Amino acid sequence: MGAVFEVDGTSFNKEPEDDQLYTNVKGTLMNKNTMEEFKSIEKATFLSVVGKEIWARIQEKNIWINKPSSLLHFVIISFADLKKFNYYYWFGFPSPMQPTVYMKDKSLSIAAIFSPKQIAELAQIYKCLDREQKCFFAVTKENDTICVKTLSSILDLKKGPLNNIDLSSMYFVFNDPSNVDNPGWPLRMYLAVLTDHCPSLLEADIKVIGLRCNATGNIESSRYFLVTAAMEDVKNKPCTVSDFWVGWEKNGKGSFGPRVAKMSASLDPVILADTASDLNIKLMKWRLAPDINVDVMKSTKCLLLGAGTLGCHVARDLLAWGFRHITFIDNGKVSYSNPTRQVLYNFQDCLNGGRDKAEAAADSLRNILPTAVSKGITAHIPMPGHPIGASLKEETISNIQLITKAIADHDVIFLLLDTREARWLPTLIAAHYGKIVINAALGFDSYLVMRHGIGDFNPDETSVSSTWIPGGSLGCYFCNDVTAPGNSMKDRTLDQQCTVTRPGVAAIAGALAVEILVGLLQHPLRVNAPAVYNLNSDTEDIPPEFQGVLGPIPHTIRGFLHSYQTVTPTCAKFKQCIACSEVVINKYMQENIEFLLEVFNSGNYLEEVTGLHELHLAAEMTDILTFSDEDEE
Amino acid sequence: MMSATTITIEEFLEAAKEFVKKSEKVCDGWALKLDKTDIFKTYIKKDTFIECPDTTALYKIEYVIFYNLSYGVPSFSFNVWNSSGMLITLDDIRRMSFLQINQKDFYSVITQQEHPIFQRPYFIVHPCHTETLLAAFRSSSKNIIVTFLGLITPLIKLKLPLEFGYQ
Ligand SMILES: [Zn+2]
Repeated sequence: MGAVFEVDGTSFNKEPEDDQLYTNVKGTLMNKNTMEEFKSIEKATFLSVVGKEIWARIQEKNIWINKPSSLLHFVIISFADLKKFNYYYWFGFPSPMQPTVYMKDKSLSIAAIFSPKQIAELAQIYKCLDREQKCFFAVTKENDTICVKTLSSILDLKKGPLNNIDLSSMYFVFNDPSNVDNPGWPLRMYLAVLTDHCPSLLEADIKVIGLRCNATGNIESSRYFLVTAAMEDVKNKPCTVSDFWVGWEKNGKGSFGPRVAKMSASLDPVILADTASDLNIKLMKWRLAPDINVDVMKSTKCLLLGAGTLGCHVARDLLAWGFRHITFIDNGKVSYSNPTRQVLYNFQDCLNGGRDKAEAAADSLRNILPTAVSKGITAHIPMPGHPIGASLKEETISNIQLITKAIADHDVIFLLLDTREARWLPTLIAAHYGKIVINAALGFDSYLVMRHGIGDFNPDETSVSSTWIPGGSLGCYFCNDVTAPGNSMKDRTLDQQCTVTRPGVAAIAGALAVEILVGLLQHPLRVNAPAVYNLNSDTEDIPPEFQGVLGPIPHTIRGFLHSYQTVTPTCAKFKQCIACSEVVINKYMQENIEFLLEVFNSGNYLEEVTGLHELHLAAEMTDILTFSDEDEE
Repeated sequence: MMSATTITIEEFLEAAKEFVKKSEKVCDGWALKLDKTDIFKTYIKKDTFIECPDTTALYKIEYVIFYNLSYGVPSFSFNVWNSSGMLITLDDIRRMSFLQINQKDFYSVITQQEHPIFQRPYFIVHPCHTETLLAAFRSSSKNIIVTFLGLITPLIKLKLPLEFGYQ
């Protein structure tokens, strides 16, 4: 590897960092404010202008003789697109085109002309030279030893060499950044000033050593060049050294053009936050669960129906798992009692009557992680047994359309509502579209978290002897419930209202809801992942095909905080379910809005459609089978 | 017993200073970055360049050895930039031949994490086995950082002049 030319943050310091084997080169950075200005720089002219300036500067009192480091100069033209964090830059190392330099022979290794002892001496000389003398100097061989000659010790400040100096005995040494057979760019400048100052050197053999020092001070890869330099006419006109300058660097593609550094990954705070939060999930993959699919969370779109206590907890856990697409539907406003329990809101959201919850929740997510793709839809979810008056019909229909489109547009539907009836419409629509549904409901000190099956009812798969149910045949929230949703807001207890739950219940249930979803997404069968009847803690007994990357996935989790118990019942679809059965879905497909309006208007209509009405008369099972909207005790 | 196998921050600093002195003698480029207000933010670092043998692309590497407070051992971290100053990703690192890590074990050895000192993503060699390994060498070790690097170099080609420079 050759020398490295490095420009970094410390390059802007007045005093360069002191490092023995580094050579400091002064340069000019010209930054343009627009891409157009950057592009319109006349590149060839620009270098010649810069070159003439350099030439004029070093010619003044021949400053370069006492201070050879002044011969090195570089330029950068740049443009920074600060919105995209793209940095365009182009390095130039201005070098005079005249005189024309010829290599008399192929270059040789320094070992071909100096003995190992002399090479060691040269290395020591180089190490001890002042920083300003290191780049360009000369040496002579005297009685087999190497003697250093700084430029000021051989050149007359006015013109030509000093009286007693024999230039032909000199080896002109320069700090050579090249790592190929040819010399590096500083030699052109060196020969230009030498031949300009000592015209006798023109057309003469000049012995040059390209000193190539590695990081440990070793100079054995240095090269010896025998060159001649001649001034040539350009377009039949005699020309001077300073007329034409070259030296633009080629870019990564090997052509003359600027390079671009796309720095958003390390400079854009939004991208930094996104990648840093991703690291948490990648660490799980790297350290503990190599089969985890990290990308599936990023691409899965989640719709959260309800932005209350449950909705807030679920959204935060989704973010933590790397989900990025989260939409809320809620029709409430943030009230003063909310922020302490509903973890996405703060005091400001409550002021002036309160912000719309769905919108405030979406904003809050983006404040936590700006790359979250989050939005809020403010809409009321119509409910069975809650008649729609003529004045609200139009609005209700438009709400249904909004909700239907939102469900169709997402991959996962979370039901995080505080009444049983509100879950009916999204359960039906999600079943119709075959979406993954995760349902969570709260009691005072109990909770229910479950996933819905999306396949057809198939009694063969759920025979009594089977130890498991295929994911598609699992029951929905209403399958286990033999009453159609009535008007619980009117004549039932409020045991599902979030405000009367022990605060920890929502956090636990929200977390479990997200974990069940992630378990499904990481299972090769996804929503069809089977649920076993007896999910005890000894998961080793469970056949591997039932376990996903993260373990087997229950159908239902019911937890009781008063006794700190959790059970995981598994239940099949109910053929006469008022939300997910074929008869209801068919009726919805055929009659659509008309059917829905009829359901909203009459609490008993669903029982008639499904034949539940007759079932009711046959047995009073309600008390045994209902959950969640009945008092637990 | 924690105290029997872990090293203290003072021991780390002592070893770090001595190590940097040795490095200076052989021009190996390690430098001590002392933080006087928060001693736990003191670290040693080395900047170097490597060339990819296949593409001749140039990369800058920064190696940082810092004191891992929770494990009580030195920790090794690094970052790699291309010649435009862009950070290289973990997957790119994995494909780079200058690392001699068994591809299968790669992610269990090196992961990208927020660096405890710089609060930016760095590649960090996982410190979980460092303590037991260091403990095994401790009595015979003249400098704990030299010993520690002896554990790291089989994983990453550091080209340290260890044999002749630091003993
Ligand atoms: Zn059902």
